[in-house]
Amino acid sequence: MDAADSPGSSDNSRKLDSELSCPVCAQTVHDLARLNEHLDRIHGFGDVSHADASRTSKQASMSQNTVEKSFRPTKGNAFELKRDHWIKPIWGKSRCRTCSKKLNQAREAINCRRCGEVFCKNHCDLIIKLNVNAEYDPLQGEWCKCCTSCFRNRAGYNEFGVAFDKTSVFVELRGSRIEDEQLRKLQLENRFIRLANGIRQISNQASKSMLASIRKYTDINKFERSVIPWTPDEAAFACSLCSKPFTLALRKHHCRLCGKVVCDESQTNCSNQVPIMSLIRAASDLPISTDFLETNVEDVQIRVCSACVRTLFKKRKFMKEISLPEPSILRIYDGMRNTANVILSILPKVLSQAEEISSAPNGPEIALLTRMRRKLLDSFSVYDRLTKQMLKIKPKNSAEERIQKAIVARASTLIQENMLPLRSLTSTAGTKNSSHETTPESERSTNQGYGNNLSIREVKEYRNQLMVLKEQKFLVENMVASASKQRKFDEAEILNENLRELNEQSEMIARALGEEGFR
Amino acid sequence: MLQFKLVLLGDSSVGKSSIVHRFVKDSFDEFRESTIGAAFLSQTIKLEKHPDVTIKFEIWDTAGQERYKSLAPMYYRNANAALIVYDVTQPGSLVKAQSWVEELKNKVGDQDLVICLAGNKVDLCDEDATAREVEREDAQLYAKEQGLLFYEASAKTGAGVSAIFQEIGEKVYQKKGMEVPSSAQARKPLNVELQRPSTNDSTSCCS
Repeated sequence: MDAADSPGSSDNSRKLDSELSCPVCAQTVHDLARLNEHLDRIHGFGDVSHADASRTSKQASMSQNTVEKSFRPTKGNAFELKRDHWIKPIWGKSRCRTCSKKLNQAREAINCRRCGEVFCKNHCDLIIKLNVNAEYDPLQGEWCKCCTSCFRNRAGYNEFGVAFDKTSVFVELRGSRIEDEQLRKLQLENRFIRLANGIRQISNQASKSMLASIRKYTDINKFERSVIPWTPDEAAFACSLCSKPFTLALRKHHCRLCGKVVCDESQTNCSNQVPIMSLIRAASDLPISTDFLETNVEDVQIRVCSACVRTLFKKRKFMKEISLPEPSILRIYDGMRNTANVILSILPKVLSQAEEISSAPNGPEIALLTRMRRKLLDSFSVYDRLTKQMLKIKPKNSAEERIQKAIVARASTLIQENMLPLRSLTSTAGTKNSSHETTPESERSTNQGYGNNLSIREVKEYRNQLMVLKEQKFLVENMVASASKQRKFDEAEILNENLRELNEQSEMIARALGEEGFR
Repeated sequence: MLQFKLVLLGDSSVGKSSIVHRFVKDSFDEFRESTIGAAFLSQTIKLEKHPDVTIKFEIWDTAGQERYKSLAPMYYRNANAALIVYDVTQPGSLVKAQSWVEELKNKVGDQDLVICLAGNKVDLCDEDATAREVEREDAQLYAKEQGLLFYEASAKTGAGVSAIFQEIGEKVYQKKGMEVPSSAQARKPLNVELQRPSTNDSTSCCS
């Protein structure tokens, strides 16, 4: 009903208004407002007490299903959708096409504007743009309610929304940007070459004549301005990089490469006085003749802004860094990683072999196992040595220290995890070996230390039990403390008794574990 | 006053702790966290049939998770009563309860131990009859065969909870309290295995 109130209704709709007739009784009315009033009063649409303009369009849409051709208001436009394809529901018999819910009254039901089928309110909650003939019209259509299948059947629908391929645009944009940067870099490089060569010439002349040596710095200054015209001081109020306004304390400086006015605050590092020789050395790939006497230009410094330095030297610095030999930490780490791979690949083989042998001992297989085991132990010792080497290296900075610590921690867990099965293996292999007399003395002596004949599973189980006991001990200790705090001494006594039992138990398990226990 | 040690056993999340808290504190927490290790609580009740007898239950509420299984023997070893709880909506929990019954009969011997089987969470069946997975009759039959006390209860509503403890108290009193009415002796059960059976294995000895 807000359609009639809105002042922005088009000519077209006004023309429609003049030919309006009531969809129920076919009585001719002159405009939308009258029709609304007529519908409200005569046909009892909507709430009588709110029969005027306060009625919302939502209420209207709820009531319109009762009449096949009722007026449907849309925002600011008189849009009349085709309605003769709508299926008229039979109350109490018709069911929602999606959920088969019985539809008892108009309030529960709604027609899909496109296919005209009847749905319950929950299954016709999507909207698409349709034209007056209830056809898809994404450009000029109006938003209309529709069911899920009509929503999905529309052209160009996909599950994930709309997709556009913007790769070419992106590539183009990026390409142009890279090109810009290349150009800028080339420009700066050329400027730098000219600057360096010019300063060299001036310095050379200065070394030849007295007069020139007095004028050296003014000449250089003049020359610098000829390479790149400086931005006039009056035009600059703030640093072109950090945008800080210039004051008496914050002076104006000119970058000799781009000519812009920048500050030289140490915090922002906008510009710096750099000895020209260090710049020339950093950009050694540029065609700058280095035959001149270095003493002449050694004292010459030029001011460059951080932006220019970045453009000119960032890539060079990076290239230089990656061509450097890698730090010793990484070298050792590579070695450790390789050894760890060897260990992890041999270990399962050795274990399966050992299991086979324990079920059916046989000469050559035992020899093979012994060889593999020796290799494994060698790898472990190499790994251990590398770890110790790693510990000896002094870290250069905190980041390196962190990396070093992480590597060492990883190494110790790896050794702990993989030495455990190996230990039990040594005991089984050891007993077999002694009966077959095939191993050298040294091997047997290593087996002496691990006297407990516990299988890996038993060790694990005992360790778990011990852990649980320790946890429980901790809990009970807390309970004792809180019980005595609340002066429940009888409870504390019971708990203490339990604590004693727990201690006994954990001692027993610790004894059973022996060497394999927690240290 | 007689003191009896009672241990709660059963699968995880069947409501052991909830039952104890209903009994001891008469409260229910919908989102109780799972028990770690074993919790200790105590509660004193008067027997309905013998109003002059007060019984103090020392309750050890064990964790149902498999990880803590090794703790349980310590608590049921010299207990006077065991309350084995299952969940009426989880058939697996009754199987677990049955395995607990077996373990208790093998390790402790039931002449001193009063075992009670309790089906918890009956309130779920009241809401929705299809939720019940373990029929009362089946569990009751099993309990009868094994000579256990049997109850169904709901820790949430509190239905049947106090009856369980009354009955256990009654039974324990009949078994022990009649013989040795002094409280000091009531706490010391007769045949107690001091050693854990598993540690007698040859594997656990030092070689």
